[in-house]
Amino acid sequence: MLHSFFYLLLMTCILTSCSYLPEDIQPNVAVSQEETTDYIVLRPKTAPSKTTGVFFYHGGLVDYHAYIPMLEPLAEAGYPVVIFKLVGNLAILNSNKTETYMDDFTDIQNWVVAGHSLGGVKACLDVNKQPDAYIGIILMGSYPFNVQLADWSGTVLSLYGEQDGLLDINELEESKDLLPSALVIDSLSQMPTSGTSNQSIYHEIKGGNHAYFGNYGSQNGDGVATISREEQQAEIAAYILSFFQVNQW
Amino acid sequence: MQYIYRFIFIGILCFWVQASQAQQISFTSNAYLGIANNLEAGYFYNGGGLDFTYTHEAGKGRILVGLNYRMIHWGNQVGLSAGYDFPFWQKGAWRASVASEMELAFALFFQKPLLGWTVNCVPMLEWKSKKAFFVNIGLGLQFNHNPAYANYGRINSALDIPIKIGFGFTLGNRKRTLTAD
Repeated sequence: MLHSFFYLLLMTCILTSCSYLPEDIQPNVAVSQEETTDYIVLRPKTAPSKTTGVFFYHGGLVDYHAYIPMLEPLAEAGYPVVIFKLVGNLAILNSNKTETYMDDFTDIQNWVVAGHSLGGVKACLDVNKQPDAYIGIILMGSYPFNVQLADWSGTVLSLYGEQDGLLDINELEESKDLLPSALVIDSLSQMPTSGTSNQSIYHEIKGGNHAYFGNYGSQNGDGVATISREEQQAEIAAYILSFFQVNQW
Repeated sequence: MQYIYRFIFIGILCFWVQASQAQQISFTSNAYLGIANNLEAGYFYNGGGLDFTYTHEAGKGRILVGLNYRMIHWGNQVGLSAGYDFPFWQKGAWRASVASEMELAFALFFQKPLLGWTVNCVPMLEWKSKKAFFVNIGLGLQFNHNPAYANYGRINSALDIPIKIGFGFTLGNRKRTLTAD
């Protein structure tokens, strides 16, 4: 009985552990990359480095290098980005990474926690644990679970693709009660210019899907995007940078 | 392609379950404390894992053949291992040995599994009950390398201290005898 259970456990692990490799990654000459055992740091080479940094949790079972192209425009604009390396490529198996590595970056005064898919869930859990340590959350094809941040003084940007086949849109709608008050915007011009404190900004990327948040090919169960990966990632960068600018970060 | 590999692994496992009618099978849970990689030295958690091992008495020790699953710096991987467990001390129900294994490892990626290899040397301590059940613990050294992952990330080698806790069963010690009707 016991050995059948162990055998079943081993088989389950093997059959559910395949990750996606990164694809089509070209080096960006304007961004420096520093890789350590625990994370990859993207910093601007030419632009002055800002004091607001971004912690990033990657999506479940996706290699962390796959998100470098999507995040490079933020680093290029001056915002240091820290991409965590996650054991098993699963954010949920990793304890509070943001708290652990915050002290490694003494030049950064404010932190935004971002995450794609399962990584977004983990980002919200970290903020829920220490709400005063962060000023913002960026969710990409993701929504919070088992947190209560409706009264949080920070702000949230939630981006998701219209053709996302892995995001449960009903769950996303229901989860709006867990975050600061929702504001849905269709274009950048609708981003509140006076800042977004105590607000959650939702934007649906028309024609976008789940996998195009990273560079890892197509994902099982995902919808078919009607825009290119480059177009989706350009829109993601534009919204995040606008979100940072209106909040004067 | 991924389905072919899955079926191969299922086939091997089914074979081992049948083969386990003789000798011993053991199940081990592992935690890996990383102490260095090809970029830097330092402590880091390098994942956990599970081993399923078939052992066969040979000479003074045991031949080991195993299937392993583990999380590692470059994701998750499965491996087929072979090695030898050499005892250096035995007293009553207790047995101390050094297990050395080589492993062919496949990092699990949807696009293509990436072939790597592992070698380890783990001193083990085993206690065997009178009912063919045993438990063991081990602490050793393991080197992992995945050459193909160098195309994707800068870290593709790691030196770990594996911490092993397992249990197993001795099977097939019952001698078959012919009886006249």
